[in-house]
Amino acid sequence: MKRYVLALMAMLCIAAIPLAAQATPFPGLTRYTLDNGLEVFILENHAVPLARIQITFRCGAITQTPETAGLFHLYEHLLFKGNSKYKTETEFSAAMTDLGVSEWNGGTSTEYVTYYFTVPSSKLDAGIEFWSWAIREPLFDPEELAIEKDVVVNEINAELGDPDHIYNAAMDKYMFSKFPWRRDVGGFEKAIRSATPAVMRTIQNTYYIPNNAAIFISGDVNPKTVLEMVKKWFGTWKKGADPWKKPLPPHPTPAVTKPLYLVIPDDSLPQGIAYMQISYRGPDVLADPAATYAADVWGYLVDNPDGAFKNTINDKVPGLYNKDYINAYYYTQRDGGQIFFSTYFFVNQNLPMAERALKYFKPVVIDEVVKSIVSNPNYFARKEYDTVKAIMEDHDLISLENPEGFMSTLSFWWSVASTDYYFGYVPNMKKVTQKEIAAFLTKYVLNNTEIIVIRANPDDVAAEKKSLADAGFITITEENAFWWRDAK
Amino acid sequence: MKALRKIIILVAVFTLLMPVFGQAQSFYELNKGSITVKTLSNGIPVIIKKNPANKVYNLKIVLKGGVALLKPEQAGLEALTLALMTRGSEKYNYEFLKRTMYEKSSSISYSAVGYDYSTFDLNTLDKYWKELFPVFADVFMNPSMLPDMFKQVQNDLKVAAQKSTTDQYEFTVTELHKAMFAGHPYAIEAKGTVQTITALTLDDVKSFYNATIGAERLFIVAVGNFDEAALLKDLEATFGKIQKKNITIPEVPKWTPKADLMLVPFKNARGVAHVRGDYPIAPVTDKDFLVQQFANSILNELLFSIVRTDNGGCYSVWANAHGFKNSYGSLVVFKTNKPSSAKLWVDQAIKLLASGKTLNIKGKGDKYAPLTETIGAYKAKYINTFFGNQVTNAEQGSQLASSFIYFNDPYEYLRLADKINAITPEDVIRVVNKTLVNGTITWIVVSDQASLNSVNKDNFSKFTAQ
Repeated sequence: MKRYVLALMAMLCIAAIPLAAQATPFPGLTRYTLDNGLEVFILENHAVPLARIQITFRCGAITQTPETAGLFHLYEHLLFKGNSKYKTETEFSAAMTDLGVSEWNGGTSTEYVTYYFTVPSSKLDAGIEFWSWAIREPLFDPEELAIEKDVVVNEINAELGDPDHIYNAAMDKYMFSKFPWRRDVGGFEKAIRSATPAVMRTIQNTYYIPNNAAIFISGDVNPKTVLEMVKKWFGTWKKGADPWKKPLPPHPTPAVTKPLYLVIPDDSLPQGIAYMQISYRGPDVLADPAATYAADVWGYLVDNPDGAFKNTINDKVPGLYNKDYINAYYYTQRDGGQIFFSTYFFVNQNLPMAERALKYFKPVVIDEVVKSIVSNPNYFARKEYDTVKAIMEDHDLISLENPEGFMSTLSFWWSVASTDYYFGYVPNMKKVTQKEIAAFLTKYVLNNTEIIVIRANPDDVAAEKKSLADAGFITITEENAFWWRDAK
Repeated sequence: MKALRKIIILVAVFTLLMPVFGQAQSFYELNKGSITVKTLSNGIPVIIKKNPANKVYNLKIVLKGGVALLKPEQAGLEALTLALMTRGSEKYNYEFLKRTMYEKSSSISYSAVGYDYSTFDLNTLDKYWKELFPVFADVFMNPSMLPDMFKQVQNDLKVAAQKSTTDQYEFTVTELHKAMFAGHPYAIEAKGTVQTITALTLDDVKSFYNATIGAERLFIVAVGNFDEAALLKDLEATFGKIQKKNITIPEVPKWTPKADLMLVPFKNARGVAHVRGDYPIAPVTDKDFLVQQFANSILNELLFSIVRTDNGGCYSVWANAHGFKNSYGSLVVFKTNKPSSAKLWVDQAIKLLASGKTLNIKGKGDKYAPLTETIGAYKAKYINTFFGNQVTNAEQGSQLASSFIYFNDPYEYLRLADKINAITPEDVIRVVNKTLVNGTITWIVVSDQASLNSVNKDNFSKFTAQ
């Protein structure tokens, strides 16, 4: 009890110091940074009498080693399993019910771990206090850890045969072959079984610190009051050493030294309809932010359903499934940006899948279309750039309809890039011209080396086994998709 | 930016009057004024909810009937029809639609996954309304239904249906309902199967459209900061011209649960099972339906505590009450390598609630506490979840549509908080005993053959925690 009283006194002292709000480009959104480095974002929206609290950390698969692959996901689970105030998971969830929590969950991704829950706005202070115990003082009880290991192992083993999981694992293994564990959120059974409370405590002390975290509070709230609450419960949280002071060695670009071809037998596809994809290692947001703005504008431009990009590919690559499913996009990450060109097509043994991919799809997409975009300043008309700007402004309006969605988006950008990157996102996108897009495509597509993937029904793959093998396609299954099987 | 800030402040003032659990004035009283009900000259009801909180406009055309209108071999026909309608009209072809929706961040979409009704939606921003409403109305009323477009949407639905067969949990639900609802309309997959979608033709779709798009089957829900008079004028000039077609929507009969456990193999299970048990509950219009839904929300915490926390028995576990004309409940153990034990733990949780106990939410002393002491907190939590499900205009539109379908009263959902507050501990105990202790539950376990071979069938043949 004494400990609680001292902690509360310290919290109240911190709460008395005023903090100035930092400007944001979004109406209703305020931003503060506490002295311990914790970033605080508050978004007012009074549509319903609820408040949502989300707290996010910059860690996840990105901060794993081969030995700790999957442990950030396990840690995410353990945060619900008891802390110094709510000793067990049952006490923890009972307290949530007592608070009237209507929705809660956590999530681990490649570059962030996040937790959120929704409380009646009248109980926001108690809700923030509730999370402060979970975040700052988790117990890592050995018995709870043992139980949770079983739960997590079940979760990952159940996915091993899933075609999407096999595809993702194979992509990570080959695209990020030097450090594949930095992409593998789930990890593998042996690593999970090896977890100890001491390892969890090391993760906590290294990454679960205020200067590596941000709290996002939205809904029926008053920013000034909320800030006082956050200061009260998180102001005394001790700052730690910057876990990002020494940058991670980047994943190599190109990802492969020569083109790599993979085929995945996939029974989630009906016989006769298959998927092909060309992918490249793309820019990382902190290392090359200018390229990422150009990449995102390019993504909007090629998404035009009636634009030259889709029309040319649809006209020149035979047997495509449907123009709507011709896609190209860049996936933003701080440690693993990727670029994809993909489409579905009809299987036809007179035009084997390997030939379709290597003699038609790749030459048309890369050698013709991408080269045209690079060389022709007018490939995208002025009007198309203007449309993209209008779309971005509309998306801002739409995002404010749903404060939860807005804050989740902000949380994503905060973790993979930075707040300033996101706040400057639309203005910087609006500055992008053909010149920046050409530079991005030249560096990351034309001067890069591709991985081509075909996914098709197992019967279709079997029927074209020889032509696929002759063209150099490696067949990917559960047995060879996972990096950690090779590491054994 | 300034204009938007002003709107937010106005909304803030408006919503200070919003309900908070326990306030004197009810949610119904505070919100009924924002909802208007009108009728077009052809009898189509129009429900308008004024929402100045954002710039989004959501319009739903709701089609009553659902799977009751279909024969088993027609599974997916309404979905196919609505999907084809999104592919344009003679006046506005598909290329135009796609380009316009892309440029204006808007969508024309459909939902045909429920048993009792489908919807056809326009979601856009206020500034595009005048331009997009005529497009939306025309594609609904005069769809071109071209053969190449038919082939495309047929393939899309076929790919989606195939995909769902490879998801172990979706497969579990499909297999359970196929057997449990055999002979009943709810056995029909609204989204179709690979076989039924493949067999349907463009003529089937055209015939279905001509036979079933009639005024008596439709109603309209609009949520946004609409000018009500202008909206009604637009609707009258378009949807108001749809004729009645003497459509009879068949009654949905009651279904009889089957007691036999189903063990269904799934080759990619890797030793992990999904367990689900479904059971009949009161119709959505009956007071006991809401009691069941509320009771299941309490049961969820007991299930999680016993099956997952105490025993590490699964990845997740939950109880649901699904509100349809013929409602059913479900118990789900998601990703478990101990399916037989999980059933025993599920029964332990049910027994606690059936005897009037819940988790002790104060966290001190005994693990469990009398329902009489905790029911207030569970009610608050339930009502907060309800608020959380109506943040966007589309979500509010869904609430209105559901209220009108099942209660013929769009205001019904506004009464939910009052109805929850009226539930007593005795109601909860009575309903749990009736459906979960003494009722018949149809169980399924889906896993690989080795795991199925070790399932103890006796655990599933009766309630084990007597």
